Amino acid sequence: MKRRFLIISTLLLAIAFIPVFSYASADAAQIKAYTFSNVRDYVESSAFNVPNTNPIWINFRQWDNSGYNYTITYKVQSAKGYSATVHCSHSSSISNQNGSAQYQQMSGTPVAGSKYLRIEVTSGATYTNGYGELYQN
Amino acid sequence: MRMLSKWKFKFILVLSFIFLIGFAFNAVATNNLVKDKSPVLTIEEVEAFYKDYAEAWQNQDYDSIKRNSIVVTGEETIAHHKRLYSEGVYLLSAQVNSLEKITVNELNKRIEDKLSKLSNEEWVIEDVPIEDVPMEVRNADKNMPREELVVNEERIKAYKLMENQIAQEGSIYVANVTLNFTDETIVDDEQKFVFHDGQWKVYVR
Repeated sequence: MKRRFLIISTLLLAIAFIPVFSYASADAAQIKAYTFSNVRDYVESSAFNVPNTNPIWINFRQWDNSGYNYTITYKVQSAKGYSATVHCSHSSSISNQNGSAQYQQMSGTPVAGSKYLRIEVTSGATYTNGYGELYQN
Repeated sequence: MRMLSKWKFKFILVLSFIFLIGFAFNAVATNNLVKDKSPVLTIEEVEAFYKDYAEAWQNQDYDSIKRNSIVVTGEETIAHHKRLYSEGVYLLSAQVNSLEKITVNELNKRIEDKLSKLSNEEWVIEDVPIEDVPMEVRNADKNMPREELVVNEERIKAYKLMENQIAQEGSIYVANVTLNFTDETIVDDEQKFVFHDGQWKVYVR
């Protein structure tokens, strides 16, 4: 009787956790939302929390005012400034104010804790704009 | 008497032409001088510049590096030099291969050409299949509350001021330089020099 109760309760507990596991694997939680305009060197966000070390995804739109070529690099880093440690980053030269947003995995390994987003125009001398969000599972 | 006045007329005509051509040349030359405000930069001066720059970096004289360059990113360039030095990387020497004076338009065109090649070769964006994009990301609302990231106004002002000055000069010196760092040798064909605050400075934009 005691054994049967133990088996059933273990099974029930396991069943109860199924939605939790599936939720965790399917859903990406937003960890940061940003917008910027007229940037030709860089901008930095205030501190935000990176909950864990899973990959960070970026969903973004970016464009410039004059139709020149440029590259924007999005960096999640330990502090503000050029020489801070960059945990993960993503670079893009596209212009997608209209059309579909880009959803890309940032390269590098995230570190949990209080981090900063730095958006830097790494090539080209043009004024850029954009908005987007960072997600993590 | 009639013959004499005819010769006199011809003489005055020729003299007038000589004066006309002389004044025209003078006007063109003066105009060029007014346009060309910055002094001439020589290869020897550029070589001396890099010698000082390498010495300053080796001696960690960052104030001197800051004085001799126009980097609108300001303090960040010093942080960059300091970080490289802490990693054992700094400039040993430099060899100036060529120096030319080009118009600002020509410079912009060169930069654009280079960047278009770079963006075609190196940055390939692969689309993520739509089924791999979570529903909440697909539905991301552009009007959701976002942190508005703002640029440093002082920095933008400094950029505009510098770009305006270069545009007024109309031309800029560009050097092809072989830079011998402690870890590697780099050939940079686009080291830019502008005359600013009474001295030649390397311009990084």
